[in-house]
Amino acid sequence: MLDRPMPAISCRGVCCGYGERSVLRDLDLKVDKGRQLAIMGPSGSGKTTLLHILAGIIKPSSGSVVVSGLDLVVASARERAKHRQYRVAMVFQFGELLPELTVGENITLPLRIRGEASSVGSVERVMDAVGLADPFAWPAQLSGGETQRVAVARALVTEPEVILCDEPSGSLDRTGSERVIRLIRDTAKSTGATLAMSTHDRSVAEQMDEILVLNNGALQPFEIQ
Amino acid sequence: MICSIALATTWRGDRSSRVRSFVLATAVAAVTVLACAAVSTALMVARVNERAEHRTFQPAASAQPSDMMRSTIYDSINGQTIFVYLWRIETKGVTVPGVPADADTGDWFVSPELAKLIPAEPLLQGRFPSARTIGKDGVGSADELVAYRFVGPEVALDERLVFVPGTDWIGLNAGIGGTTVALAGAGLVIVVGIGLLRSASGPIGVGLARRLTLLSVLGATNVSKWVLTAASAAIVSAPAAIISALAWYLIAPSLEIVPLVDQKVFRGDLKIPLWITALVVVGVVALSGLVALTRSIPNVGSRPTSSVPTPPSLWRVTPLLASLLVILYATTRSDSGAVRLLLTGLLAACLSTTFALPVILHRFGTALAGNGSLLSLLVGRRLTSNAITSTRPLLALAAAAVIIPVAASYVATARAGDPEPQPSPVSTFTVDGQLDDNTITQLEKDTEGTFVDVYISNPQPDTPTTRTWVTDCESLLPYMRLIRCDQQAIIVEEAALVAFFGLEASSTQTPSNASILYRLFVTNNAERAETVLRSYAVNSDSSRISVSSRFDRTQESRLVPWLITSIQIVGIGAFIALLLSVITHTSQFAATRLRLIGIGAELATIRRLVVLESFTATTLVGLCGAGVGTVGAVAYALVDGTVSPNYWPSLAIIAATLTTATLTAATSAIYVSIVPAQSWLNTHD
Repeated sequence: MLDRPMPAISCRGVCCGYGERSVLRDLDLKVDKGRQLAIMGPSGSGKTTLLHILAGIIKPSSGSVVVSGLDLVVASARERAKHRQYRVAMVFQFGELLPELTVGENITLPLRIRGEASSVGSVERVMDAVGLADPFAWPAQLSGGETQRVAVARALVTEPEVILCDEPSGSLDRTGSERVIRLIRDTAKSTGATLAMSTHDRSVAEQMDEILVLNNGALQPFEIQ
Repeated sequence: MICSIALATTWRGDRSSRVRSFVLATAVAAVTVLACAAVSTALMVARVNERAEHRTFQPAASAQPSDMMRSTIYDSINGQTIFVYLWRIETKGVTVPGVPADADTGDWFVSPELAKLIPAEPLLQGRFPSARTIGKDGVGSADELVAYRFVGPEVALDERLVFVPGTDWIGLNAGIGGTTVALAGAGLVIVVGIGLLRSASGPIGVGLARRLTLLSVLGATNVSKWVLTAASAAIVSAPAAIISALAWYLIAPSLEIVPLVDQKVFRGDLKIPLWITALVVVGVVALSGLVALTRSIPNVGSRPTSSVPTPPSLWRVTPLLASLLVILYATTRSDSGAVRLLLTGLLAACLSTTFALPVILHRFGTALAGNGSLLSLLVGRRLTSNAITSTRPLLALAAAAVIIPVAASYVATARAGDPEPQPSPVSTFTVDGQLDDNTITQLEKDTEGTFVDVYISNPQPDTPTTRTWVTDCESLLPYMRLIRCDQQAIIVEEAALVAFFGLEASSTQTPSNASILYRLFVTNNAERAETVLRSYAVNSDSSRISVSSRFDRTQESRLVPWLITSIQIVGIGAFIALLLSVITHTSQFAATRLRLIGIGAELATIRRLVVLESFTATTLVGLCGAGVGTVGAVAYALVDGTVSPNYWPSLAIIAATLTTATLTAATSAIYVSIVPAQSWLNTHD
């Protein structure tokens, strides 16, 4: 009997809330390695919360969450930090670059956090991949699309197993959005990384392998109307 | 509508909103009490000066009939000077303020403070027998030690006076004008008040930013947003200001001591009228609203925008360099304008240091960022990109660090101006003139000293009186070196001059047409002499003995407690403001925390980051201020010349800076540890 490969992301009965407000209720999710998942849902449905749980930034109030083989519910804060350093990368809605660091320093920041020295070559390689030229530019000098590309480069520099994207094109126009989404998808595909992306944009979601809708705290299959 | 939003942002908000409101309310209460105390102090000083001026006299012109005759001698108790005035009324109907009209020859009157000391001091009971208390209207400051004795024509008095209100005072006034106190108090309240309110309203501004953004989106005008901001501050501030002002209004009239300064006052001296109390409340609430406006407006926007980090202009250092040059130039001058020039330079240095700090912080940050490690890169870059905003909460610390070494020099100089303690190999005691020869011989034998007679020329209408001390050279020689000793004059070594303070002439022969006023007892063994003479005074019930050198603190010296208290208030205010700013800054750091957490930074790394950033900025600013302050203190000592440079205050401020930096860094670390970054996450779905 062949062993079924362990999924990259596995959630069972996840519940989470803020104060008395319940956001996720008994949520189940399974994503196989290398798959690309789109999570849709109205504002306030808990998409960001779910992604932060998958990144190990916050813990659910109950349920189990296993990402890249690590049980995030029982893992310590230090283990979850290491998890983000080596296995999971996050791309935020507005890029969330550190404004006081240059583009090059932002991109290599995850490596510095891991305690690794970054070579000029590795920075140039990642920047080439995302189509950026000036590593000494400041975030304030970048357009929204460029900012997101730097954020993607920062996520890719650690060669993660799982890429989590929180509405990465939410603040971009259609052209910029298409370019960034294509970049993320192609990079994930070429490295074999699993991709989970929240989005409001149906055209973005339809480019992914699977679409789920977060509604009333639980994930449901996307139904074409 | 605006009120309900303002309430929702403050008292009716979530737990953190209520905590933020409580912090602001506490700051408002502190500022209100400080403002009320400043007003009370200004009024108290005005009242003291008014009373002091009420008992004013001036010397009578030669042809003018005098209202009264007076002589002043000085007594002491526990190191404090007692001003003893001997009076004789010459014009019927003229009274000494605070003394009843039925005062008769031989009567003693003492100030309320002295009256309190008499029951516990047998010596004082002997010196001021059956003394009645001078009325409050005849006493300036409540801590005055003053005694009046009304004497008959057999006692020679040397001052011919007429009663002219508002010309001169006979004892102590407050040592400073009410207007000066009011201005200093206003400065103190504004500096400390704005610092505290600004720091405390920071979190309120953060809480308001999102609501103001929503209102912008909904089309609210700037005016309505300003009204909302001011209303939120007023809703928090007004109750705190009213309660604390009313508390002060009720408590102040019963105070007999100025809190923190330990200055004694009469009941009612610190009283403030209700309408002034109301004005203080209005002023503090308005200040709170204005400060909230200045803090909140920059926060209005959908998201915080970043800008390209630009280094602060090097021109910021120019005023500091110019101030230091002025200070340096002042030390090269020896005229009376040098001190004024120096103080101007010091004030300019205090202000310009705060202006130059961003450049210093930026330079240091750049050097730190080049170090290569993760923490030094992040801290260095945060310092360089936020050099101006990073120094803002630390300006009060920098100013305090500059002021304290200079103020310590001022205090040392002021105290050096006091006549006590005076290093002198010779001590003298004043003894009543009526001593028989046996007593004189016995006392000289018991106490290893000699008596010197002080004669007063019998006053004539057109000639001033002269007090002459008389002794023979052989008696005086064992106690001091004599430069000249003959019938015309006795000149003693400089160190012994204090023994004959205030006496106009000396001779080895009794002057003609003069009567003995008192005797001075000169000795090299002051401790023994005091014991014997005091014992004699108590037992004889007829003689008064006092330390001859008058201990009348200089105006500068009397201001020292006020100066120290002001610095303490500024220091405490700066420290609280700094802690609040650190919390505000750290709470605003939540977004960066989340970014760093998102890319794998551990909590320990983030904690080290905020600790290093807070510690570095505080230490750097404090040390720069202490450096400038030390330069100023040394220059002050050089210009004044009465004191040597004292480096202890500089070391103390450096130690205080390091302690403050450690405490603020620890506060940041604790805040980061206990307040989750999710507070920022909650604003997202």
